Amino acid sequence: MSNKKQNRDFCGRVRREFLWQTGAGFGAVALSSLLEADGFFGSKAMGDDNLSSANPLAVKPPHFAPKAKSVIFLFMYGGPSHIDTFDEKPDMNGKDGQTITVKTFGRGGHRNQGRIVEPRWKFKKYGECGKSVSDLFPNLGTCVDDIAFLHSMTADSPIHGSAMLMMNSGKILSGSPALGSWVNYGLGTVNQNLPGFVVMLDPTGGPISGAKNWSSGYMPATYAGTVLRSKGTPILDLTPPEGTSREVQRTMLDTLGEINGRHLSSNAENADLAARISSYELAYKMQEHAPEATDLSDEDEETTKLYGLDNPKTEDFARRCMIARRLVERGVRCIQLYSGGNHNDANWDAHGDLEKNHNKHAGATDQPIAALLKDLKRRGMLDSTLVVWGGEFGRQPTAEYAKGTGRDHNSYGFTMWMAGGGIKGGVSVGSTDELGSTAVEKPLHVKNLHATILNQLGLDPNRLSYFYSGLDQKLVGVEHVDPIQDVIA
Amino acid sequence: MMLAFDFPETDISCEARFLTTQPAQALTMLNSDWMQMQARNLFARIKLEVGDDLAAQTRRALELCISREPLDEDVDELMALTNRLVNEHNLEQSKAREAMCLVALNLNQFLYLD
Repeated sequence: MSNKKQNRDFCGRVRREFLWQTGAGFGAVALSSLLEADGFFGSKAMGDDNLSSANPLAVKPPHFAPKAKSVIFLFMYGGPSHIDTFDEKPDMNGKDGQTITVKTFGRGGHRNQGRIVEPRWKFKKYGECGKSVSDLFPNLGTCVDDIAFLHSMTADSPIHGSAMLMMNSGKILSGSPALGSWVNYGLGTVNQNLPGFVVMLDPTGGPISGAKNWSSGYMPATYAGTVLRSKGTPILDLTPPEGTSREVQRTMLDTLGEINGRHLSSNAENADLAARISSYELAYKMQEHAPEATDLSDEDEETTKLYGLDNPKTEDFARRCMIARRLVERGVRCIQLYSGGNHNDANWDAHGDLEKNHNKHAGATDQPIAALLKDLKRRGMLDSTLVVWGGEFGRQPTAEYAKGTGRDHNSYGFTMWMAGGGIKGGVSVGSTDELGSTAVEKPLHVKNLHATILNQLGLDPNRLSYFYSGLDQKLVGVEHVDPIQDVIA
Repeated sequence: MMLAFDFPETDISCEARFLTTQPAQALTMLNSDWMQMQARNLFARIKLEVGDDLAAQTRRALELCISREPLDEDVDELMALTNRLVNEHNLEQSKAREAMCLVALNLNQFLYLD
């Protein structure tokens, strides 16, 4: 891999070379200290942190006292229909098949009218707050008093690739760090023996944009998400081969570190080399600590039944939710679980048969997610664990094709929810129009969601920045973004 | 192996491979059966090419892996590793030398082109 390709410095040289080339001397020294004070040179985080002497993942203090220590992002990939799940639209009842004038924008392009697809599930009221939830989520319905619903979410793109990148990294173009990278950059990781940012994909495959969704972007690669497999052993090759004891491996790694270290000293600006050295150290520690973290055999039967580990329909997501809880217990900061993967009906992207699609995916996730919330609560962990649910966008009230129930993408208005981590329970914020086509009351942007997540973790979203390419980059962008105060307890 | 190293989706065009650095890659490079086999093959080749002398073997291993004249310090380092594995960890001589080859195959200089 060419060094030049990976070089992220603005003028293609490190700051030392810049100084030599502009005439080293006292003048240059004075200039450099002036420029350093102005933050002209790369962020300190990009400087020496990658070398083995300093740890980029060392615990850092938050900006203020946090409510949450960890975040679990339940990513419903493909875009669940808010109209059929948590955003009840009684006005649509009885109007199935009617053509209506409504502006929509999906993969089918801009449209001015469409054929209404009535919600295919009935809604019931749940909890003390009396929240209406569709029959797709009977178990989650019983948790509504702990959940804050965001009904007026908006995003910038109705196309999977860019929408995924926006939901994960705050930008529709690739190259920016993901939420988990920001969290680990801001707070470090509590448990140095496990990755600080874990991603668990659906067995059918990963989402569009792939690894860019959990990339560290312009930050050191040590902040990137680590993918754990959901089928079979979560981590491949976790055990050293026979005949290689832990001590033998340690000796080999020490040698590897020595030789790599010599090579690194003449290639100091290549962040990937240093990241790779760190990844070996993390791998060494994970061999000892990850098996226990991902091994569910010490979970009692009541718990496994609660999540639905014994039911083939819910088994996969149940397993991943249980592992997520265990990882939180062990100090992992950010865990992302993907419900749905690959393409079309392997995820929530219901362009074809809406009922078949959502019955399948809600059927697989409703019980495990409700169990996760209940389990976190009874273990006294819910207050310090932020749970986020949603996809990269929602779906349209009108049909995509001349026939069928399939709904196209909708980023003009959709629903997400949050629970735990200092979030108010039993509340709903914002609303869409009577068809669920656009956010009308208190529109919220993905940036507001990100701001809220950072805020609950004790980080000021408008202050947490990483200097890159001449700008103090922030997850929420250049403008001031407020967390969603209405859901903060 | 391919999945660990960001094998792209084959149903869409991929103008440039997106690269990640992950501990899972380190685990694959150290522990997988396939890498064990590669280390064994490398050792067999080296033995054939330069004989049984440890110094010559470590030099040849580095030459093959990094495609240039190795630093003396690195040759010494690998020799010291092999001897430590035999003397302190009681590995069989041939196993220790295969481990040395595995380390050579894990070097950053092998994986990354400068």
